[in-house]
Amino acid sequence: MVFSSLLFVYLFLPCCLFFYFLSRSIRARNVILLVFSLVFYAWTNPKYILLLVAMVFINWVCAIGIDSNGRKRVRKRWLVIDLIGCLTILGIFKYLGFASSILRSFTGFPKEIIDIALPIGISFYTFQLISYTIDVYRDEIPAERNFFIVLLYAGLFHQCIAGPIVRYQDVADEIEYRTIDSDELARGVTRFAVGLAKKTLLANTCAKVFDQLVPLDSVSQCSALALWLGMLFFMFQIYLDFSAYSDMAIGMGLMTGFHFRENFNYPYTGNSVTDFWRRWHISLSTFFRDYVYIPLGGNRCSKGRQIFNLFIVWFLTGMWHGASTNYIMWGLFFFVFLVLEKLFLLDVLSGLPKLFGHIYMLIVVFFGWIIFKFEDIGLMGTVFKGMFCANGNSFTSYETGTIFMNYIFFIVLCIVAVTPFIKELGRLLNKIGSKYKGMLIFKSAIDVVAPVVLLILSTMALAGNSYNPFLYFQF
Amino acid sequence: MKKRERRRIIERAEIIRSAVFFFVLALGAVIALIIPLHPTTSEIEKRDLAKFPSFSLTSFLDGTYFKDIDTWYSDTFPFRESLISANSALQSFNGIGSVQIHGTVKKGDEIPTDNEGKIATLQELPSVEESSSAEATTTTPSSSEEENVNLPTQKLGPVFVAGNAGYELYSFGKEMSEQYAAVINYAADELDGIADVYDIIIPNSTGVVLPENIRKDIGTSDQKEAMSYIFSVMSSKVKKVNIYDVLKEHKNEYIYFRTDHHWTQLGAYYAYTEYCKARGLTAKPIDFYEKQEYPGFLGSFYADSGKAPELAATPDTVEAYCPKATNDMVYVDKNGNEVKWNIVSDVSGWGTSTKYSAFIGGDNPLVKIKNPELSDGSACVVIKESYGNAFVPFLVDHYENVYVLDYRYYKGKLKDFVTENKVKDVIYINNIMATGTSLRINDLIRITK
Repeated sequence: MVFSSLLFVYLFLPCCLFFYFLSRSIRARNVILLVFSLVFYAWTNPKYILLLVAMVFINWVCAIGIDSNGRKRVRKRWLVIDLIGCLTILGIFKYLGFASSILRSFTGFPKEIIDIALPIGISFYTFQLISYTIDVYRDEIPAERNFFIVLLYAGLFHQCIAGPIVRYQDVADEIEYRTIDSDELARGVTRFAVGLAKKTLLANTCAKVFDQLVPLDSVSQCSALALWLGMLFFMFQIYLDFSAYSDMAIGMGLMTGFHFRENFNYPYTGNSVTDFWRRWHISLSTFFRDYVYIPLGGNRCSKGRQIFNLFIVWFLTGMWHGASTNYIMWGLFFFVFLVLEKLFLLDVLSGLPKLFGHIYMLIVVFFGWIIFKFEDIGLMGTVFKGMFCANGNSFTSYETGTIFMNYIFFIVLCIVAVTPFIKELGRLLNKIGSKYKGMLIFKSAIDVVAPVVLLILSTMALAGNSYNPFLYFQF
Repeated sequence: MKKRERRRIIERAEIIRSAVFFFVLALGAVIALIIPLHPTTSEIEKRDLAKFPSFSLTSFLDGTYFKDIDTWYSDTFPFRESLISANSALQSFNGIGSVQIHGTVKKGDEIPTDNEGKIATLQELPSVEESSSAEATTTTPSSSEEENVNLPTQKLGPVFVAGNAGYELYSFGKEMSEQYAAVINYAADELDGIADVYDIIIPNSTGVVLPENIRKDIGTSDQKEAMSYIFSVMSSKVKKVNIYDVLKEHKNEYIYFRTDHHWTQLGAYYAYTEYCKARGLTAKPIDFYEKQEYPGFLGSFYADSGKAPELAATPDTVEAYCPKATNDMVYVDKNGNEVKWNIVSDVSGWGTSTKYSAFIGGDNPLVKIKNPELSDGSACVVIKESYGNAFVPFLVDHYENVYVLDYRYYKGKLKDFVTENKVKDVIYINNIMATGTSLRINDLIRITK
C-alpha cells in the first residue's frame, strides 16, 4: 500500500486512528499499530512479511546476544553474524539480479538473470535494524527483550517503506511511553496534509509533465528545451515526492505520539554540494556517516585515506539507491564534487557571494539527477547530447513552448514548494499575530482550513489519477 | 493582548483543526464504505470500472488480490466523475495558453512528392504492434446505449486542444501508407471484372480546419500531400475519390466535431457528392433530407484531454440527415444475432459521450439496408471504420441494397461477400489515421486477402 492512495487515506488511516484512539493503554495501542503495520506491509506482497519478520528476528537475537555478553570477542562475533545475515538477505533480494547480469556480461554465465521482485522497503528497514544492533554493540542502548517491540520499530508503517531511517534510540522511549497533546496532534495533521498534497498535487503532476516532455521511446527527437525543462520537472518531482513521504511519516508519527527526526531541510537552498547533502535525505547520510565513514577513520586520518573513505561511502550511497550502474555513477559523481569541495572548492566558495555557491550546487545536482533518472546508460547519453542539440534535434518546438506555457504557474508553485517561503510566511504571520488579535485569528483560521483544503484537493487529484479513458484497447 | 488569551485562541484553533480534519477523513471513509455509491461504469471513458476482485490463493499470495482491491477502491470511489471534473478545472490554473497538447507528437516521415512510377504491393508486414503515434482513432462501439460503455475502444493519437476544439494529430508513415494502398490494390485486382473498387480517405480536422502555420509549428504531417502520395501508389484499377479539396472548400461549415475526433454528417455529405461524381450518380441536395439535431455531445477529445473544461463549455450537436427511402436497417452484432435498428436513431436521451452512435447503430460487424423504392438489383458495400457511419445514410437512396462491413469486427472475406450478394460497388472509406496504423491495415488485409 502507498500513502498516496484513496484506500490508504480513506480506509486504512481512519481505521487505524479510530482503533488507536479508542484504546487507552500503551500496550493496546502498540498492538494496534503492529497489526496495522503488518497489514500495510502485507498489502504489497504477503510473502515478504516473512522476510521482514526474519530480518527482525536476526537482529533481535543478535542484539540480545551482544547485550548479554561482557566479552568483547563474543560481542563482536554476534555483530558479525548479524551483519552477514542482514547484508546477505539484502544482497540476495536487491542485488542478485544486478550482480548476475554483470557476471554474465564478463563470463557469459549464468544464462538466466535471476529476477527477484524487490521487497518493498527492504533497504529502509534493513538499515534501521543494522543501526539498532550496532548501537547495542556500542553500548549506546540496551537490547530490547520483547521481539514485538523490535518488529514494531522496524515495521511501523509510518516509515517502513520510504523512510526516514529512524534510530532506535530516538523512539525507544516513545514505544513504551508516549503522550499526545493537542498541539502535536494539530501539527501532525498539517504535516500529513502538506505531505499528501505535495505528493498528489505537485510530484505526480511533475511526473506527468516529464513524461509529456521526454517520452522515453523517442528521446532523440525531443527538443533541447524539452529535455532541460523535463529534467527540471524531474528535479522538482524527486524532492517533492520523497520529502512528501517523510512529511506524511512525520505527520502520522506526531498524531500517534512519535517524534521522527527531520529528513529534509530544503536541500535546493543549499549553497554547496556538501551543504546539499546535509539537507537531503538526512537520515541516510547520517547513517553512512555514523556506521561507515567514522568507523573507517572519518576525518581523523591522512588526506588520502579520507578520500578513500569518502569513496567507499559514496559508492555505497549510490548503490543503496538501486541495483543498477547509473546509481553507482550517481554516487561517485557526488564523490568527485565532495572531494573537490573538501580539497579547495569550499574555501573558494566562501570567498564569493552565496549566490555563486547556490547556483553551482543547483547545476551539479541537476546533472546528477540525469544520471539518477536513466538506468539505461545509452539513453542517458542521448539525453545529454540532446540537451546541447547534438542529436540533430531542434532547440525548441511548438510542443515544448505549449507545455511550458501550460505549466508556467505550476513551475512557480514548485519553486515556492521547494523553498522555505511558506514556512517563513507562517512565521511572520505568527509574529504579527502575537501583537494583533485580528491577525492571530486570521492565522488560526488559515491553520484550521489549510489541511482540509489540501486533503480535498488531494482527493480530487487521486480520483483524477484513476481517470483512464480508452484504457482497454480492442486487442 | 494578554499571553493567556493568545494561548487560548491558539489552543482552541488547534483542537478545531484536528477535529475538522479527522471529521472529513472519517466522513470520506464512511461514504466510501457505502457500496451502492461506488459507480461501476464510466460513460465518458467508455469502459467498465474495476471490479472487486474475487479471492484466490494465488492472487492473495502474489499480492495481486490486494492490488486489485486498491484499484477497485480508487477506480470506483464515490463521486469520482465530479472529483475528476473538479480536478481538471483545478489543473487549468497550472498555466496559461488556450492550447494544450495531450500525448506526444512524433515526427512523420517525409512525404515523397513523386512516386517514381511505384505501385504499392503487399509486403510481409512486421508483426502487429501498437504504434502509439499513429494509433487509430475511431469508434463509438455498439448500438444500444448500455452496450456502448461496455465495448472496448481504441486510443487516439496525440490531441491538440486549441480554444474549444480538439484536433487529432497525424504523422505520415511511408511504409504503412504504402501498405494501405497495397491492400486496396490487392482488392481491385481480386475483384477485377466482378465489382468496382472505390477508395475514400478522410482527412481529419487537423488537416482541413487547423491553419497551416499552426500545423507547421506542431509538426504534424500535411494530409493533402499524404493523400496524394497514397493515391499515387494505387493502381489504375482503383477509383480514387479525393475529398480533400471539397472539404477544404467548406472548412468554415460545421464539418467536424470540436469535442470528438469524427467528422459531422455534413462533412460526410460533401464526401458523398464527390463519390457521386466518381460513380456517375446525381447527388441529392442537402435539403432533400430531413434533418435531426441532437445537442449536448461531448466526444473523445473531451475524454482524451482529461475532460478539458474548455471543451465542456461548448458541447457539439450531432446533426443527422435521414435518407428518404427508408430509415430501417438490420445489423448483425458480434455474436451473430440480427437486430432491427434505425439508420438514424434518436439519441437525444443517450449519454453525452455516445451520440455519434446515432448513425447506423454505431460499429457493428455487418449492416444491411434495403431500399423499398428500388428493385434494380443495385448493391454496394462499404468497408469502413467509425468515420464511415455518417457517410452510409447518403447511399441509401441510390442503391437497392447497401451493405456495411466494419472491417475491424467482420470475420468473413470480402470477396465471398461481394460475389454472394452481387455487389457492384465496393467502397473503402477510412480516416487518414487508419491509413497509417498497422492494426487497421492488418484488419484490412484479413478481410481482403
